[in-house]
Amino acid sequence: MIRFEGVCKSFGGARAVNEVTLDVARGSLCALVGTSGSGKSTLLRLANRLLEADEGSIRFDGADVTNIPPVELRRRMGYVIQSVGLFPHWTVERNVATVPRLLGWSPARIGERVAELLDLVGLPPGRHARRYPDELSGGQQQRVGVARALAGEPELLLMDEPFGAVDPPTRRGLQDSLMAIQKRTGTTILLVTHDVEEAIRLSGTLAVLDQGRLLQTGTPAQVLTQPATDAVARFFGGPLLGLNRLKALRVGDRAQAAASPDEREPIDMDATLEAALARMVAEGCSRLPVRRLADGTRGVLDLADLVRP
Amino acid sequence: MRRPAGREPAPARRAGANLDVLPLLISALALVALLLGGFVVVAPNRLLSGTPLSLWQAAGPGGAASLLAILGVIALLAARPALRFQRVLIGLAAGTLMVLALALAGMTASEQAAAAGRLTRVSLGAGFWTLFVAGLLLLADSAERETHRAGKALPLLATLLGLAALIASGRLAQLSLAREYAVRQQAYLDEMLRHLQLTGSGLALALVAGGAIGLLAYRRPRRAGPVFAALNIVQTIPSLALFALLIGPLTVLTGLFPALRSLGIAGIGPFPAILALGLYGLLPVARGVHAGLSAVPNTVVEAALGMGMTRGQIVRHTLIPLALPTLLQTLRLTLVQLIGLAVLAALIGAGGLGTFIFQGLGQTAADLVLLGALSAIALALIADTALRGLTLFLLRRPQN
Amino acid sequence: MARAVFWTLPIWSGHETAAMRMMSVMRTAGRLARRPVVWVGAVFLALTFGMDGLAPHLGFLFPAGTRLVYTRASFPELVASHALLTGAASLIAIAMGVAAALFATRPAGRAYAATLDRLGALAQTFPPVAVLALAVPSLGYGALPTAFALVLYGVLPVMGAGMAGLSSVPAAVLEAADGSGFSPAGRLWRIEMPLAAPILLAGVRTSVTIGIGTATIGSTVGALTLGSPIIDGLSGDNPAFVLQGTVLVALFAVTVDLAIGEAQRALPQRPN
Repeated sequence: MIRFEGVCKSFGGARAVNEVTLDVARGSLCALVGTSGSGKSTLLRLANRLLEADEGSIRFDGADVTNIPPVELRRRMGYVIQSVGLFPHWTVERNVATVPRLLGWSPARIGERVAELLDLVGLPPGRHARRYPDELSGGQQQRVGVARALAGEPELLLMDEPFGAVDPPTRRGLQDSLMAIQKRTGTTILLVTHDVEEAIRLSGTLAVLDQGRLLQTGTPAQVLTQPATDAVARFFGGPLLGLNRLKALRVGDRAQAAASPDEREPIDMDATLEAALARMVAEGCSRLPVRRLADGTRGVLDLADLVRP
Repeated sequence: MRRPAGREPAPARRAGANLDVLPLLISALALVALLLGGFVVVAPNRLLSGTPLSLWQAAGPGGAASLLAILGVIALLAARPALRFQRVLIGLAAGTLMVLALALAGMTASEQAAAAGRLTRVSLGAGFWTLFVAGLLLLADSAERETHRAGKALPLLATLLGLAALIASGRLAQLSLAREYAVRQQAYLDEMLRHLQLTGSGLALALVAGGAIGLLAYRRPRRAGPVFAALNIVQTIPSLALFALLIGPLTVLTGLFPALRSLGIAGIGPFPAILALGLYGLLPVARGVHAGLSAVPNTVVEAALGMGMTRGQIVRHTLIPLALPTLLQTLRLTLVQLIGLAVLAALIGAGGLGTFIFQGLGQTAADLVLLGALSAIALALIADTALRGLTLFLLRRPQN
Repeated sequence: MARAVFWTLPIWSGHETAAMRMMSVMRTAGRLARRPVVWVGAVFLALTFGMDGLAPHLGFLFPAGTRLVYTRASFPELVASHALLTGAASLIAIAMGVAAALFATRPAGRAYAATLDRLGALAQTFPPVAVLALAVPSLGYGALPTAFALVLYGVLPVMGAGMAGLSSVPAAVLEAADGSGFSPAGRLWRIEMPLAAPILLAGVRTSVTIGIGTATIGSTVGALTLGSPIIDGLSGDNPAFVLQGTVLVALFAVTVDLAIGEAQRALPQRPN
């Protein structure tokens, strides 16, 4: 969907992005992670040409982005930022309708799209469409921001620390909604975050940046089990890396066929190992029944499975 | 007016303080002034000073009683904060007070003229003015505090209508003020028009030049400091000096290039007046435009860019609408200021309402001064109110 | 600084100590001279006392036959009268404005803050000349109606700035002050006033500037100020008087404005 090739960007002599090559597949969610100043936001802003790359090329759906007029390019991509940037003088409805109006859709189609999106992000239009941004909570505002970014049926959604400014429970709610939305719409998402847990939870692919360089790409499980460098390991928790690994791995990755039946409530295959460990601690046991393995047999998860490398 | 946030809300007022103090205070003040000061002043002719007549002497027991009754009603209304439409009712009562007081003064003038002959002049006295200003304050206060838009406008419109009807009825014709107007009706209309022209041209100049400067300061923040410092010096120069300052250079200029004179450029007259007004409006307009645009959050502009808005669309859909409150406020304050300053234009031969003020001051004809001064004040108040109304209208949020 | 060194070294190189002393004096003088208030003020004072001597030589600027020397009062007299009128009225206005702002930000008066704001806004729509002229019938001609208008217009900016300054002190700071055991008066004097001072002083600056301007107009109702030669010149068709009055009053206003600006700079800066 979008491919960065040898991309560099400098600000006053300092390389913010240094020779980054990254391919984001259609329909995937790629999280750009790294400490602040690692160049992840810069890379994102190169994608929709809010910044222009000094070297290298960026191809969007096969075409070099420099050949697409910025305004057209941006209308084909959704953009969500941490501070949301809702237009304070417009209602929720009008905010969401921004890009469709710019694209010149018919009012009927816009109305339909707005209602659909507000439902999608969990804000029933009947209650929220006519409200103004300052009448919403921070979490609701960010939901409107996501709806607004999705309104023009973008092929790619760019998100810059979208949930950084909301409190943890709200953030988890927003993350769940985002996963549900992506499942339904199949939109490709490029997400910038410095929140390790968020990155592991949401992404299909992690891209770890440090000082402008791309250190490693891979699934969360790959990156956490085999961090390419010390810097990657440090970013994902240093001595606590192992605990984060439990967040990236699923019960299904480690469960084995059960030898004897177990009457207790079984744990789901796609639950994280962290959840499994939590249950073991809570129940004071070292093995859990698993609902069903891929081959149809009942499974079991032992503490030893959990900790094996 | 928005207060800075960050303070805890004012604590609920204690019982007893639970009534509206301001209307009470104002009506008490009006009452004292009515009892102590003259309601009207009767003079044997235009230039001699006269003797004050109290409300009782001027309007008779019936008139006096009705005015006092209205004051009482206002006090009663003020003591009932729970009452529905309390603000609107106070506003209406204040308007009635103003109209009635003026009507009583007009009737007194007619009676005096009939009894003592045409030379007699009846002017409005300190008691009347205190009462009238009290009414105005009550009206403004009620309009400001009433939250419903129709409720804001109703007392104001009703009062204006009442005053207009009173003037049209001819019942005020024998008041000294009206007679000063009557003998120079055409001149009054000319000077009023001239005043509006001067103000309008000066404002246009300030809006164009000041707007451009404000825009420049917004686009190039590093230049903003020196530019505003320079404009501030212009603003520091006393207004009278600024008007007069242009006389010398413009006289020299037209002396050197007489062709300029055919373009209406001269050291004396409307040209330097408009220039001075424009210069005075420069700083407020530039500062307002700069502040308005700077107040638009960067994140909103970035979101608009990321959304794929063109430059023109960003200006039209985000910058202008979000700067609008500040821009409208700037327009209002500048216009009101220029209306007041244009009074000075008469001193450099440019005409306007100041003509009557300075003529009156020269002849010690107080009512002629009054005619000019009240007209200027009324003009400023009308402009202020109209632009406040426009602001409310443009910034309204349609509620579903 | 570099300029001072450049000037002094070649001359004083033989006398080390004298050179050093001179250099420090020059340095201070150089620092002073770089402040516009010093040279604008110097030009103002020079013209105030030199105008009567300078005026006769200005004939070439004006039509032949123009009287060049203003005789109703000397310029130092005019400046003194103008300064006295503005100064006295400003002091009263500042005292009243600060008092009103204090009242409106204390618990007892907070309910009236909005009303005072509103009255201030209303009063500001009244043209100064109109108010001056309206004061004449009841106060007569001369300095009195001028002082009345001066005080009326001077109060508003001080009150507005005082209220803005005092309510700009963050609630957390007030809470911390209360928690540290300040008395209400101590809190006001040691915490609130210093924090509000920059904004308050800006209001004073506006107030005094408006005062000087209004006092100038006061000469139309007979007050003796630097506006008098302007008015007399305008009515007597004498451009020389107009020019003299205009230049002096403009310099006066700019000098005072810059001087208050220096006072603002001298206040301890607080970050934010």
